[in-house]
Formats: sequence, structure tokens, C-alpha cells
Amino acid sequence: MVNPKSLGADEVYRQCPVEDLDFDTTESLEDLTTPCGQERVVEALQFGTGIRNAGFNLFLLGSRGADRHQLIKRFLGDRAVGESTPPDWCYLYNFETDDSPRAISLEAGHGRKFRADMDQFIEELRTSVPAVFESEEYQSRMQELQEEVEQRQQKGIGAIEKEANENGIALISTPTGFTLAPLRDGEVMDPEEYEKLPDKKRRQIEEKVAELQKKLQQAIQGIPRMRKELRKRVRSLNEEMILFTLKGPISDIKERWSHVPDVIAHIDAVRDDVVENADAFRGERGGGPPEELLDRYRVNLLVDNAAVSGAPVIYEDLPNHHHLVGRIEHQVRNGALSTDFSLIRPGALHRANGGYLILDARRVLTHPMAWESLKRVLFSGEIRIESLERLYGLVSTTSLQPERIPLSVKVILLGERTLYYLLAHYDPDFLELFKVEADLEDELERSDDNYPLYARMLATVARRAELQPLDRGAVARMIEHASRLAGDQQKLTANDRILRDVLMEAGYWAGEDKSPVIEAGHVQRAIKERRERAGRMRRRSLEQIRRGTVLLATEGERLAQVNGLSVIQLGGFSFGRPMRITATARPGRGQVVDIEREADLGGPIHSKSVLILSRFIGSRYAGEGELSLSASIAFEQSYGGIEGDSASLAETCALLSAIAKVPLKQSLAVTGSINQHGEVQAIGGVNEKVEGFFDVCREAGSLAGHGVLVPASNVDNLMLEREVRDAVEAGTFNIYPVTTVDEAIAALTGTIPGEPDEQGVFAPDSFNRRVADRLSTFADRAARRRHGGKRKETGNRDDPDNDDEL
Amino acid sequence: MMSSEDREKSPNAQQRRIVVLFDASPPSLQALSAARDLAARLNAELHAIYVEETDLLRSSAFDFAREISILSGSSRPLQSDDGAGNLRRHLRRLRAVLDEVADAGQVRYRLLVRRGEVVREVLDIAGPDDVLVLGRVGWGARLGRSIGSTSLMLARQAPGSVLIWSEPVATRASRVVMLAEAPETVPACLALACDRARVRGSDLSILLCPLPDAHAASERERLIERHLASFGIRAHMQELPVANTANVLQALGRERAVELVVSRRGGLLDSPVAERLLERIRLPVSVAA
Repeated sequence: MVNPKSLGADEVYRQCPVEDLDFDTTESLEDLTTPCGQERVVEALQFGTGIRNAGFNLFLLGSRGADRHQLIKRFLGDRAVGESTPPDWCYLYNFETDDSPRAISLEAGHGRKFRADMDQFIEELRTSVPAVFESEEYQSRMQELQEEVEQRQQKGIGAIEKEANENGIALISTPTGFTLAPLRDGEVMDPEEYEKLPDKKRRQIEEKVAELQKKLQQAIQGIPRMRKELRKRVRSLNEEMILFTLKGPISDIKERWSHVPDVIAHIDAVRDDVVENADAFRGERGGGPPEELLDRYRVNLLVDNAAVSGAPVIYEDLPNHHHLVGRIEHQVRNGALSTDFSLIRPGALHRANGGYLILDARRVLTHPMAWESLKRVLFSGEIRIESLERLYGLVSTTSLQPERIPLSVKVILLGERTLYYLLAHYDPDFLELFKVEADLEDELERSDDNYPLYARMLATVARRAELQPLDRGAVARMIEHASRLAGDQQKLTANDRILRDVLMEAGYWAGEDKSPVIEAGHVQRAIKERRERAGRMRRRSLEQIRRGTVLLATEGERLAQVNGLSVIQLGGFSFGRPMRITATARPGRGQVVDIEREADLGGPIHSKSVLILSRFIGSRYAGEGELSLSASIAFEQSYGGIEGDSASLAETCALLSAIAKVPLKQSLAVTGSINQHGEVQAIGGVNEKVEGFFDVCREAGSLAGHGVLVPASNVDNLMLEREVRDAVEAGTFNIYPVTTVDEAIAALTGTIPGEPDEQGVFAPDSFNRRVADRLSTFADRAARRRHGGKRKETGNRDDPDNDDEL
Repeated sequence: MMSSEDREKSPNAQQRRIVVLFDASPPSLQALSAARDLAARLNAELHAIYVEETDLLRSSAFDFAREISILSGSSRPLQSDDGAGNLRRHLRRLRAVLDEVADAGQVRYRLLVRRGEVVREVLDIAGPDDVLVLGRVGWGARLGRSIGSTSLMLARQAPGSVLIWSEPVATRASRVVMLAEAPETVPACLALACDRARVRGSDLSILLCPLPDAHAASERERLIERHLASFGIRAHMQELPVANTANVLQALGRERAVELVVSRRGGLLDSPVAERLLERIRLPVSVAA
């Protein structure tokens, strides 16, 4: 076993050779038509938008940095242009059931024309129809009708009056009817004189009066029938006059819209309604028809596609229930809420009908009922406008139930992967409705072949953001930064939003320098400034270490103490922070106490890693014998939670140091996880961790022999900052790739770890032999205790870790 | 309400009364509103006359007398045992209606109750300075009459001017039309016609009835022109070839008449032509003394 060899500067950073880029500036590069490295997503989008079957809606998922909106809008924009424009939709008054407005579709752009035609027709109604009613002809015919019926009414009564007069009886009007009385000399007879008449004469008169009363009753009871007949004849007259007046305008409209049966039916219904409401059209003393009546004939143009070329692409940025399915507004009339078909407002689904609707999944899910409404509409294939108040029964005001509108739309949900998988898991409808999954790549392969493509992507981004072009150096620096963002020498980030932000900042600094192109220095400054702006916590952390508030040694050797490395993520910025890890070891029941877990500060992965390392120690050093160990591990001065297994190598080293009583070098920091066989495994955030320790060492004084032990499998992830690279090149700071615990021990202790022989016994004087011997001593003591029953004379009986009483 | 200008133009306003015949029938209610407006404009006192007819009183005294309801045709006894109570109730209703109508115009008013024959009682009350306002017909409308005999008799016999009121129909009618007869009838008739035209804000048309000699015709034209000039009003004049019902009706239609003004002193009002004319037209008719 030899000490691990430190990496060279070229191994901790992969540069992008400027000479590989065969252009001067990105101005000469063409725009990228398809997103770089997203061919699989583009294919999914082509499939998802091409297939017309129900349920094949799309979910475009990707990480936060990916500019999903730009991508989908660009894609759909190109696609929709070649598609046919969907029809306009109008709501009209329903003359049969006034609370269910009718929906009709018209060819795109014809909705406006229909609305204008109806407005013009209404103006015609407003002036022509009242004029008809004021005309001499109408007045005269109406008078004739009324007089005729009145005469018929009065004829019967008049005949009775005549008969009464002929029999010497008067028909007298009273305020509430008629009465009959005997006459003499043209006046009603005095009752006293009447009494003097002979009985026979009086009887004749009274019989005649009774007969006439009966006839009078019959005549009066026939009056309602005659009035009904009058109404019927008045209606016929109104119809005749109105139809004559409106014949021209109605014919014109019908001729223009003869190809649309729904419009023809509506015009016929309007005509009938005008006839039905002739009285209202006559108005009060020539005041004209009431506006409420005329408004019924207007057109509510719900969806106007006149200005749309191709299929509509709608993005709804506030996808609540009403904005999706539309709403029915109300207005206050005489203190009460009322509504009509003209107050129906479209939703995004109406506007996107026949095209594409883009929605943010998270926003849809966070608005009450929006998700349920969207699913309901997609399942039914129809848009039904229903207000939330009505759905929940919160208000009982009158409302409408507009006719449903058939829906043909492709919905594209945009969201993070977590959302997609949560929906797929918990909502059984989700995969029924969103069958096409378009998963954006987070990273692209970094290869010489991809450089020109990536450069074109940067050129496109710069052009769209109206930035200066980039020179070759700037492109190379951007590619290197993309690799750093991907955390991989072999990859480039596909998160174009972050790249665009960096480019825009670089463009700003280029502008400050009055440079016509963005150079590498501008890109570097943008990266540095971003880091500085977000670096308050990082600086504070360094200060605490420098002032000794947080204890961390970077010189000398210490027993059972090692520098571990953690990563702190704050918003979009992360940095590495070294932490002291300590361990203790004493005889016990063969367990390692994870203090973080005991204090409820450790996460489950961390707990798992501690269990793994304890089993590694047990199986490696105790062999078939008994492991008598009571150990503990702690992250010193850690007041937040610890999660992850990337410290398990450091923890193992600290524990082995405690058991073997061999000190560890404090000039080195350790990161990496281990398995039960002592092999070192890859971890995340390696760059931040290395740079974090580098910063601490530099703050503590001059660099000399400092370094970090990293898993060998993480070497490809190294994309370290220039300052670190310079130190590596100068040999003052070293990166040691390790593959086993033994390699880490060798580097940290300067001793030979030692290999076991065939019997599993380690070489004398080796580090591992010291570990095994100490554990054997622990086991012997434990065995003696068990067999001898001798109690330990010293030790705190209250100590829960006091396991010596075996 | 009467304007100050109107008051200045009406020197006899304090003496003048607007007398309206009122029996609570629909036409008489319309006449009451018109009379109220007139009283307000002239700042005159409104006198509403109600005449309890002898015939009706007598008929209720017969044991066999029954009333047939105009609404349902049902028959019920006429209650004669409590005649005074009926009258009181009826008068209370009339008073309430009158209070409401008159208060709306803020005019001084009075209810006069008489018992007897209607025409006689009204003529007994109305003086030459009074304006008598009548509905075209009372309860007799139910018997098919469009102009009641009472209204016609009062138009012919009243000492002062008479307005036979009809509710105007909604048309674009715009002219007050005067029927001009003999020259001596012109001044009073034209004065009333000009007044009515001014009140309505309408133009004035004059229908010239044929006269037996040319001298009378020219004298009439001279008088008309002189009076029009003095009133500051222009009028459209039209000659009638024959003063019969048909010609007058046609002329009224052509002129889009909103009101007709005639003179009592001309022969037309007493002729059967006037009766037929009043039966046919549905316009307010003003009769000049």
C-alpha cells in the first residue's frame, strides 16, 4: 500500500481550448432551431402535439433552471403557424330557455361580422319598429280593431238597453256595473209612484227587469272571450306590420348567413321575439324599445380568432378555476344581482380551443378547484362554465347554464419532476389525461463535437437577449462554467436560464467596458460577482473559523479528530464548509453511537452510513471474534441537521484513529462515503467541498502540504476554481483520489495500513494491526468480566455508555 | 305649477276657476288630471263637481233592484237601506283621489257635491270666466258611447270655455288645429287656440270652414292675421271645401292634430256634424265661448 498520488492541475479542471472554436465571435454563428441536446424532448413534443387522440396531453418536466416556457413557446409557435385557425364562438340569447344561452361557432373572423350585422339590425329595430307603431296606418288599423271589438262588446249591452227602453225600463250605469229601473217621462220612476201601480203592471215590470238582468249577465260574461280575441288579432297585426318593416333587413342578414343554419335559426327567433314584444317596442309615449329588450338580440363574441393566424397558443399565467373555464359575471340591478348571456366571459380553455394551452402545473395545483376543473373539462371534452359560488352552493342568486362548448385542445403542463411523479403516484386521473411525458435533459455530453453546437446555443441566447456577441474566449469560459454547473468534466449544463442570466450579466460588464463583444473577462467577472453577491454566509463562516469561534485545525496532528466537509445550499448558491469530526472508543457491546442521531440532528442516510461503518469495522477487525466496542462519533459545533453519507469516510478515519490511538493530519480534509468493505464511493458537491477547505487553509496562513482526500470516482466531477488550480499546480494544495479506507488512513497518518494475511492477521506494526489489537484487548476485558463476574472498580455507573459490566 | 310669466298674462287669474266634472270613471279621472294641470298653469282654483244623480238614487229604492257587476257579470242587490252610508263611502273615495291628484300639482281645490240632474247642476255652478273640463264620456262608455250626452250638452250650453279631454295617443302629432267659422267667432276661438298651442309647444293650423259670402271670408282672414300678429304666432291655414265630418277628419289627419279648438258661437257645434265628429276623433277638444 502506497500513499495516494495527488492529482495534477489538468486533472482538477477541464479547459475548453479556444483553438477548438473556429469562429471569431458568435455573430457569425447561426441560431439554433432546436434546443441543444434536447432531441429526445423535441421528439416527445412532436409526438404529443401530433397525436389527436384524447388524453394525449403533455407534461414537460425538467429542473428549475431549465427555461421550459421559452422552449415550449418556441416549439408551439413554429408548429401552430402551419395549422388551421379554429372557429370563433358566440353566445346568443336562448328564446326558449332564457337561462341556457346558446353557443354557436362561426368561421374564424366571422364572429365580428355577425356581431356587427346584429348591432346594425338592432339599430334598425330601434328606429323602424317604433315608427311602424306611430304610423297612421297602424294607428288607424289598431283603432279599427279595438273599436270593432268594443262595438261587439257594447252591441250586446246596447241591445239590452234598447230592449229595456222599449219596455219603459232604464239601464243605468253605476260605478261598478249596471242596474235597471222603471222609467216615466224619461226619468226613473219615483218608488212611491211605482207602488201605486197595479200589481199586474208591477209584476210585468219586475219580470222584464229580471229577464233583462239575466241577458245583461250573459253579455258581460262574454267580454273576456272577446278581449282574448282582440289580443290575438292585435298580435297578427303587429306581426304583419313588423314583418313588413323588417323584411328587408332580415332578408339581407339571412342571405349573408345562409351557410350557417344556427344564425338563420337565431334570426328567425329574433323576428318572432320582436313580434311577441311589440308592445314593448312601442314604448312609453314614443320612448322607443327598452335597451334590455334590444340587448337580447346582441351577440356575445366569446372567442374572436380574427387576429389569430394558425392555431392559438395560449399561456395562462393565473390558472384559477374562472380563468380556465370562464365565468359568468353579475351586475347589480335595483339592489339585486342579475346576469345574462352578455356577461359570460371566456376562459383560457375557450381561447385555446383548437390549439394549445400552456399551464404551470404548480400554479394550477395551488388554485382551489382549478386542477379538478381542468381534469373535468379534459375528460368530458366540453367546456361547461360553472361558477365556484354555485358549485359550492355559497350563493343562491340567479345564474345561467350556458350551452357547453365542444373542446379540442392540447394542454401542456410545465413543472418540476417532483410534481410529475407525485401526481402520477397520487392522482389516478393524471396519467389518463397526460400520457405524453417530455423530460428535459439537465445535462449534455461535453465533447469536441458538441462545442460548435453549444456555441450556437450561446449565440442564440445572446441574440434573443439582445446582447453583444461573444468572442471565442467568452464562449470557452461559458462552456467551462457550464461544465462546472453540471459538476462534471464530461457534461455541460442544459439549464439555459442560468446560462442566460450569466450572459446577461457578462453583457452588462461588457457594456460598462464599452466593449463591442463579450470577452472571457466579462464572463469571469459575471461569475465572480454572482458568487460575491450571494457569499455573505460563506464569508461569515470563514470568519468564524478564522477567529476561532468554530474550532478547526489545519496544522499538526490530532487523535480521533478529522476535518470533514459539508456543503451548505442557500437559494441558488452553495459553498463548502469544513467541520471537525471527532470520535471516542472504549470497550463495550459492539456498537457505534451516532451522536447526531441520538440528538435528533442526523438524517436517516447519515444514520445508515454510521451503521455501515460500524459493520465495516466489526467485520474487518474483529473477524470471527467478538467486537467489544463502544464508540461515538460527532460533528463538532454542528447545530443544524446533518444528512447524507459523504462524511462516512472521515468518520471511519476518526474512529479508527480513536481505536488505534494514532493521530491524524489536520492539514488534510476528507470527503467520501464508504461501503461495508471499506471501499470509497462517490459523493456530491465535491468542488464546493474542496474549495471550502482551500479557503479555510488560505485564511489560516500560507499553504503548504494542505489538501483534500476525495473519492477517486469523483475526479471527473472536479472543475475547481482558478485559485485552487494554481495552488495544485504549485504543489501547495493537493487533491488525493482515494479508493479505500486504507488509502485514506495512509494519507492521514503517514503509516502503512497493512494488509491481512491468509488468517486475516494484519502485519505487525501496521495501522490496522494496532486497531485489531486494541479491539482484541477490549474483547478480552469483556470476556474476563463475563467469566469472572468481577465488577469494574472505576467508572460511572450512571453512564449509559458504561458497557463494561458484561 | 304656474310660472310668474303666466301669472302676469292672466289678469283675471284670481277670479277664474277650473271646474271639472268628476264621477271617478276613468275618463273623468283623466279629465281631473288635465284640469289640475290647467289650474296650475293659470294659478286658478280647481273645483271638482260630483253630482249624485236622481235616477241612481231612485233606482236603489226598488226592492227588485240589483246591480250587475261589469267585471264578473254577477248580480247583487242594490243596497238602499244604507244609502247615506254608501254616499259617504263614495265621497271619501272621491276626496282621496282628488287630494292625491291636486296635491301633485300643488293647486288650490274644492270638492262640490250636488244632487239632481247633472247638466243642470253643472250649469248652475259654472260661470262665464270658468273653464269647464270634462271627460269625453263617463260610465256610459260601457254602453258603447264615445262621446257622452252630458259632455256634448255642456259643451253646447256652458257659459264659458270648455275642454273635452281625451288622453293623447303616442304619435308624432304636433299641431293644434282650430276650426274657423264666422268672423265674429274668430277672436275668442283664436285666442284659445293660440293659448293651447303655446301650452303644448305646438304649431297651429287653422281649418277655414266655407262661408256664404266672400266678404265674410276676407273679414275672417283679416281678423285671423291681425290676431295672429298680436299673439306673435304663425299658423298654417287650410280651406275646407265642405265642413262635413269626413273633410274635417281628413284634415285633422293630415295636420297630425294634437287638439281641436272650435267655437260655441259658430253653428257647427250645434249641428249633427259636430256630434259625429266628436264620436270619431280621439283628441282633446276645446270649445271657446
